[in-house]
Amino acid sequence: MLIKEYLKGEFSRKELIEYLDNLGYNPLIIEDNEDLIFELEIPANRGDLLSIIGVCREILPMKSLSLQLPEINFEEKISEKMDVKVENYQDCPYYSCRIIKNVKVEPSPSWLKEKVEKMGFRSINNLVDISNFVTGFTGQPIHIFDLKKIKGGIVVRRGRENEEIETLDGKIRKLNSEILVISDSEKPIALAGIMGGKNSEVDDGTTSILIESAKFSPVTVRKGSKILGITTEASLRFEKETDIERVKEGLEWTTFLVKEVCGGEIGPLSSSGIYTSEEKKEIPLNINKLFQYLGKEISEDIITNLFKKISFSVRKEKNFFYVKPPVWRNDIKEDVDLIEEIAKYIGYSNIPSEFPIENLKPTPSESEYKKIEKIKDIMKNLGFNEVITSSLISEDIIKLTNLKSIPLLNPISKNFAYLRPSLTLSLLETAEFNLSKQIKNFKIFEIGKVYEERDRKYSEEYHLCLETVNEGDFFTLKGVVEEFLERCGIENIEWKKDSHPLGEDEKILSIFYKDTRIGFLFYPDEKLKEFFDLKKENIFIAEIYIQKILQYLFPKRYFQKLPKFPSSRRDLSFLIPQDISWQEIEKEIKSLKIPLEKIEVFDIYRGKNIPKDKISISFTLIFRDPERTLESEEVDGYVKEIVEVMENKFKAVMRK
Amino acid sequence: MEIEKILNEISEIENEAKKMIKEITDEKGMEEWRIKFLGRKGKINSITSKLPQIPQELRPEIGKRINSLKKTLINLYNESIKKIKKEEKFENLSFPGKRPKIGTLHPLTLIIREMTDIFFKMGFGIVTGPEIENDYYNFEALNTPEYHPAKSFWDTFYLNEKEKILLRTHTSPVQIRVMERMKPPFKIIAVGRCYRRDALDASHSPVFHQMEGLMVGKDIRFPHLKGVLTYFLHQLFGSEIKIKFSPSYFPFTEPSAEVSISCIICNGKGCSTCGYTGYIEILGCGMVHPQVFRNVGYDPEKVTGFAFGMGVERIAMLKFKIDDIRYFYQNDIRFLNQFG
Repeated sequence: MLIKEYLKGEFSRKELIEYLDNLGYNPLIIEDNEDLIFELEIPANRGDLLSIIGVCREILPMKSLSLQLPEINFEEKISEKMDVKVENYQDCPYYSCRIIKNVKVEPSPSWLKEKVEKMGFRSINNLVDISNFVTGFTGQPIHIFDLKKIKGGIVVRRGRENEEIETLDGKIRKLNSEILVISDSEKPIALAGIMGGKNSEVDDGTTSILIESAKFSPVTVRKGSKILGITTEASLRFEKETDIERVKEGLEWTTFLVKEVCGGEIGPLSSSGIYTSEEKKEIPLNINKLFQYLGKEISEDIITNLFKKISFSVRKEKNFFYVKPPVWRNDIKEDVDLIEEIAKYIGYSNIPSEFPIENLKPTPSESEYKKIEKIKDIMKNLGFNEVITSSLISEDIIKLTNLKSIPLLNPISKNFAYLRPSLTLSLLETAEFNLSKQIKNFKIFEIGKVYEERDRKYSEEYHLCLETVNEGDFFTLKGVVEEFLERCGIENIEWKKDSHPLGEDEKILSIFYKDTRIGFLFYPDEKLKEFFDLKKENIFIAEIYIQKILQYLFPKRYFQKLPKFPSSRRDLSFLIPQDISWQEIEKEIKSLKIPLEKIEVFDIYRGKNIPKDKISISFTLIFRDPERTLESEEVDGYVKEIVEVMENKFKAVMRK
Repeated sequence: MEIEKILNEISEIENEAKKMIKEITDEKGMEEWRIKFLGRKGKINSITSKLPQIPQELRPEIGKRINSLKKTLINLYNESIKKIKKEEKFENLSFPGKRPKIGTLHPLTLIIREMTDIFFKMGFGIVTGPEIENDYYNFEALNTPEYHPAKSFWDTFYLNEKEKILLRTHTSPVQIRVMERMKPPFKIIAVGRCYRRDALDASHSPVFHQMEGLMVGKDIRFPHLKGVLTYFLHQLFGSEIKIKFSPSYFPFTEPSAEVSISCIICNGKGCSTCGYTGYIEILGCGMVHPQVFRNVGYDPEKVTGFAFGMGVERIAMLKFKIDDIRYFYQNDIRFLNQFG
């Protein structure tokens, strides 16, 4: 527990861990023996906590601790100075460095070795260990160059096309004008804020060094690190923005430690850029707003003391606190940030729970969502298992089908490379998976989105897809679709022969509603079946463009009076030519001006005793007049009309 | 015709009828027997028709014999048919029933319904939003700084880099879309698919579901956030669980909180599910950041609000004790049949 060394006041390990936990850093204990070592989750906006000092400052309000840092001092003995030139202060607002001559590179003394290892670094030699220690201790990344490997002065500039540098990890990195580098008068010697170069590395023969401590632009470092694909302890800290006070602190600590550990003669500071104080502005905090937000009143003393403990200056005027955060708190920008600080330290568990009774009026739900849930219930009642499949599908499938689909620019793998253009593919894949587990008969459905791009306009629409696997025939699924649509309030649909890229030719029907195609029912294409290893399986698919009809689904229903008079029923059988469309027959019969309530096919037969090009079809007719009971003779007359239509228009022969 | 012969014939009919009826087991056989002996062209009638051929003085005696045989056969018939009908009615009820098949809803649908129902009871309405989003709605309007890890190319799927079209990484863009078109006060939830560049493994999926909530109005405060979410979590996991709010960071809320519940697997004693901490992180939340309000044209001095978001799969895994996220997207029928 390095931090204990720098804190004045008594506290136990348990108290510390609990305190950090309540502050939200989820301490994870790595070791709790001789020493206590733990990891913290540092929020993305708290770069200042990526250091021992930062963590120490954060816990000062615990039991009124205070910081105790060792005094650092050194004397400049030589006058040799490095020339520094920064080409663009936006990339590097401030650069500082210092020469130290006649240092001794050797393994670190045990106290230093132990410290860097506890911080999670590998001990290399005294110089490298010092720069790592200072980085971890102050949060300011430090780099040390071998002075004799630097030709001329230091230039902070952008990389050039065709330039290369071998970094400390032994990799050759190609540079470009997006990448900020540290160079000498001849060549780049480091990737600024990211990683040093091999050509200026400290080694056993090093006698003189240059210590670098700078502030680099978070944006520039982030860009460079992204282009090169390297994240380091240094880049991580620069990306979250460092503060200028730390640049100075880091250089002083490093100089001091080098003097103590490696000896040497210290040269004067050289720098470029303006060392401007980054003092923060005062933020007004309305006390009423604070109390209102937290739902309780807190004594002013507590608030003032708290702010002071965490190095915020605070003064009170009328109903306001005027609070100025310390330079390292880049995350504090407005009053709510101050409210969070207070809430954090008084503890979220000490904030009351209330019910917002001022806001009781319900907000209406989108009808679309509720309709989709209703659809799922109907499909479940029809005996189907709901599935949810990935909306990202594989490149192989897309290549096979030639369907137009949206590719991801940066997929993680070929298996999740496209947004699906159809649910059929997902359900075939699900069939394949289940069959591979010896599950042979099932009915499944999915309601989910499919995606399309047209002229750079992206759209996503809900589809409903049904699949039967070795469960009934084509007409089983056709019946399910009919029943489903009727249950949803969609009546008078039309079936038409059609084509579909995923269906087997001649075995595809489309569904029309209000003259719009709202879906397909088909035998899946043989090529697809082969791809999914489904050749031997009896599979039928219906894909319904549910988004297109959502507005018509589930119309408001009102009670309709039940019929008062009885109906009359007749059954008829005909031999008809096999290619006659039943839909035509039904349409024709329904257009007769007779009180026909219902017509329903109950038997279709072909084979023995039936001529080869004929089908035997039997249907039931229900007649009813809402006003009176029909006489038997009247019904016979209606039947005769129907028989005539059948015989004359459809070349049907009645079977007795 | 000899009298002996006719008497023989009568007793032959009787014997034959009695012998035959013993072997009959069903109603169809009985009908055939009835026609053969008692039918219009049956043996009784045929022998009666022979009466005129015998001497007159003997006719009454023979007639009596035939009548008595007829009565015997009718009785025989009635008895047998009764017995047969009784036998045919016998059913062995021990055989299995014929089951109709009912479908199932996916466990994610079930958990989403359970979650949304709790919020519906509190007056929240559900809204939807697109999965294909742009940088503005997914990040910028939500106050996400450039350095935020989520923004990196390595965490977000892009469709078009120039126009910054991407797959939403969370349901939070719905918050912005709702605030752009609605006037406070309101309280909404949104559920749907989200995408992150995670490789598929037992606990990560590039496609996953989130549920999001947002309540905006006058004087909405942190205690309301605690109250609503505490009620929700108690409803969902039972009122015996412990709930912990701790400070956290999200760019679009301030103050931000992370909510943990006492581990429902080990009841807080510590197990592999909770990483031996006794607590499980379950959702992120906070007071809506004033910058987010400014971005949608609300005045943060006049309205306040809270927002929250959580992973649906994670909650389903805890509730149903599912140990691998891949089950949700594989859709093994045996898996699906374990749920409603």
